Amino acid sequence: MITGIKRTLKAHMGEGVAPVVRLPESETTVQITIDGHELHIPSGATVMEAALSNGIFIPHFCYHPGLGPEGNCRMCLVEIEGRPKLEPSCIIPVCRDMVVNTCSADVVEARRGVMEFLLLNHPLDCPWCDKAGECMLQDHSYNYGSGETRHRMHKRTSPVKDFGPKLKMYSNRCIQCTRCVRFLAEVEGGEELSLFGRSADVDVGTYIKHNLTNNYQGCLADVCPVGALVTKPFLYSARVFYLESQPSVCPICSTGCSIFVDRYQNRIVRIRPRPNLEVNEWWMCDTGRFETGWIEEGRVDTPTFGSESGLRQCGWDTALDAASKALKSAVGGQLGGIVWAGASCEEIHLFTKLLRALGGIISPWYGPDGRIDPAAKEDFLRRKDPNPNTRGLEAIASDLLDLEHLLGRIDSGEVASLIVLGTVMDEAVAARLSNLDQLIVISSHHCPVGDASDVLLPGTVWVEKAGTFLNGEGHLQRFSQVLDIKTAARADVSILSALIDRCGLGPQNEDPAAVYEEITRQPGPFKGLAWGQIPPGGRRLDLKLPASEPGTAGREGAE
Amino acid sequence: MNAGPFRSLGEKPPILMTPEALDGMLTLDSYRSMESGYEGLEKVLKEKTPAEVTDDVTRSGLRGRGGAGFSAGMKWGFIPKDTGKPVYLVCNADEGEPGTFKDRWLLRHTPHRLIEGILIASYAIGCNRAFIYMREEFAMEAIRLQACLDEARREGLMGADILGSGWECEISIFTGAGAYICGEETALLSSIEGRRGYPRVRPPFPAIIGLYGCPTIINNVETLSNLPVIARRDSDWYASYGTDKSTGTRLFSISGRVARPGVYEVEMGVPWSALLDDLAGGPSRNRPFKALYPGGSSTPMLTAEEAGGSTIDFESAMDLGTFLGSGGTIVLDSEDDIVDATLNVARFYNNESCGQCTPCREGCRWILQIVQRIASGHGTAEDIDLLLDVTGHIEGNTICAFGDGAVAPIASAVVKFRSEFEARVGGAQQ
Repeated sequence: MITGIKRTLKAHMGEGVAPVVRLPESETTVQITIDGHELHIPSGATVMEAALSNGIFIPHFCYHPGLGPEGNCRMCLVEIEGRPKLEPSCIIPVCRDMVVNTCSADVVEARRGVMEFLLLNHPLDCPWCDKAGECMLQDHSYNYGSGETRHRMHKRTSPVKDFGPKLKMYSNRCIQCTRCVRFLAEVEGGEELSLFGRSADVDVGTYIKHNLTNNYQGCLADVCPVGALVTKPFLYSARVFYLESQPSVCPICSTGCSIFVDRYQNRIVRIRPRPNLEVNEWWMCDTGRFETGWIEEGRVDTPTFGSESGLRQCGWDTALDAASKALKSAVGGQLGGIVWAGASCEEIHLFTKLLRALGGIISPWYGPDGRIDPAAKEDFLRRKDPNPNTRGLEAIASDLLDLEHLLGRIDSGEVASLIVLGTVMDEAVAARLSNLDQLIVISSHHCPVGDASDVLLPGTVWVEKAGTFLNGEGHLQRFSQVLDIKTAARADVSILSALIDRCGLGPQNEDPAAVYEEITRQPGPFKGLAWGQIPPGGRRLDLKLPASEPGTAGREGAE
Repeated sequence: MNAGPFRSLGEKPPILMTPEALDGMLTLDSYRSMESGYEGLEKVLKEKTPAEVTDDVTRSGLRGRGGAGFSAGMKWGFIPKDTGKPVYLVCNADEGEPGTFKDRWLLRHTPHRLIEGILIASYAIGCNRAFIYMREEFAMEAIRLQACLDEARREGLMGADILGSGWECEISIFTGAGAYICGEETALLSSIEGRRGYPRVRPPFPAIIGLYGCPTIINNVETLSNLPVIARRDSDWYASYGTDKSTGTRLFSISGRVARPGVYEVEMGVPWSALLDDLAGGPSRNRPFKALYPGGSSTPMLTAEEAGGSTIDFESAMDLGTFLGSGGTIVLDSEDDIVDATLNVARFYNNESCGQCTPCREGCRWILQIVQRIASGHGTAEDIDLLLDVTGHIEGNTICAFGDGAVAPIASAVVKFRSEFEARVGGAQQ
């Protein structure tokens, strides 16, 4: 048990402690020496950036690669030859022939002092602190602190602050590093938090007590190096060292933020950003992070088959037989397909493959508000397109027919059989499907269209399967299966493979990796990029997008 | 001419505390008639390039009077040329160091001299917009100075085309809100910009990136007040005062157990006794001096013996491990308790730490707690060493010099008067 904890702890610390650093783009480099290692560093980088990007760890609290340096924690002090005092490595830029020592006797002594100062008033309530296990103060205390205190007085205390439904602040644990204040000022832009008071009474808070309103409060808990800012949805739900983390991609808009999904006992307990300099940097919005209730609610858990007495549950064989029979019986242009822009590239590929072989026509479904949700608020990360794979859909199923046209052909009786991939939450669409002879729906959730179907095949949500999404800027990312499927539902790729087989168009490999390879063999932006070659942070594909298309990631879009 | 509030090495007249200044030169007319006011500026504008003015000031040996004692001309030389950005001059009139009130004397008696000094410095560094950062408590001085600025503007000494030279310069007064830290030059810049008065990490130095991100020079009131006479006479005349490396004179505000506390001017290099005994009249309570904070409460304490054998100049102070600081000398006599004095100082720095960086924010509070414990008779022998250890973890590890200044009087008191601390931890209370 204990070794198990230690192992996961180590894995966790490795992840949190060595941050992803963005080095300045510079044409010139300077040679410096850190702890005896000769390094060539782009000019303009700081000593901290030089060290971290070369695997040399300098302990720090207030430094965060995504925020402007402040130099206030003094944990990253290093010795630079020829300088009279220790210097904060997070601010000092590298210069030619600089010789840096990150572990001289003076540095070690200064760090010991800083650790002692920071722990003077810290409550040391690790046993019930959410951050324990991924806390920089805890980690550094083990590595650079002392096991004993020389402080004999009462500790400074201040009340817990309630910042609304998402966030809570245990001010006693705060080390005044101002990362949260800087995140809101520099990245989010709202400046909702500030510092109040001075000397040892400096306190982070809001001007006049109120709830925070910004949509990036989860990031405040992320950047907090201690357990001062914690998110309420995760509070007391699990110890972080028991969590299993899987890399994934956020499905709630066309940005497709890189994320970690943290699982505990086959349950998602936390979603957090996975640093990706090309997509979401170190951040993600609260909508993607906290609004996960939909994953479990209203799920279709068994296949159903429509008979004269209404829908009834059935086995997969019955359902797939009925579906393939209906598909095969559609003659010529009688078959239509609707595919959701939140489906993975692999699902879209198989759906297209099936429909094309049977001579069907395909329309996209972008959600009840359309491809661009006019009510959605765009900011430095969020985009108005609510789908993670609109670009994938349009790149793979290139000859899409407008949905209104398809519905028109159903109205006129031209299209008599329809297969839908995705959860079409739209009464208006459902109402126009009554003319159909056959309606087959693959959906993870109950929806008006699924309820009207003749065959309803239970699909899965993105955390229950593997696949790829192509974001609004053409950045291709892989996501992996996080949760085991708890019901009779199947991965949508498997369902489509079975239909292809049963329609006599097979054999079809149902492994997402194999399906992806099929896409790369076709002409198009995916060509030649193997599944195994997609880096953890994804790869930008050349979609030849028109220049006027709105950008997806990076801060440029917000400004 | 060793009379009045001035002492020199030989027979020299005072530079700042002239008899005319003692009467007060509050109007432009009086400054012009009594001290040839603004002639220095006129001479500079007509005869010298900015670089020549900077060279003159460097040659005069004038060093900053705010505390650090850095060569004024050299500091001006750090302003980068042709950045395309405006250059700012800020006069630091946030005199907040405990025991220091010499800038206030200059503001009260010779406001036009300061304005002339600001104009000369502005001309030298290429600044057209100067600020005077005024301590909030100097409300009357601010009103008086504003009246003088208005007068200068009316007479064509401020604003556009000064004295027909084509050169323009505006001066504005900016009043602080009472925080000690805003006397620290970078915190002062943050304060003018409307931010929290937090010091900034150097490098970059303000001369490169200062006020509003532009090259900025910050000079003390006394430093700037010396410029008119240097411009009017010449740098060699100024350098004939004082020692080789500490030229000119120095204002001291002296308080504590002296018979005549007040502001005095001494030529650099005079013995401490000239200030303590001749000018300030010796002990006020007929008890021998025990110790003094030579340049404000943030400078390491000197014993009376150390001061007695030394002279007033930057080098001698450094030899004793202390500084002339802001010239605010606080004198203690044999009946004063060093532990209580230390508690007083610790309380001040605990209140005034801005709270930005860890060692100072947490350390100053801890130091206060330890000194309180010792002073109340609840301390232990270990507390004395702990105090030294904690001061060691603050010194040199903070963003600004506040940390060094906060621990210097504490550590020096413990080292030089350890027996008094030991007597307290023994449980004996006076």
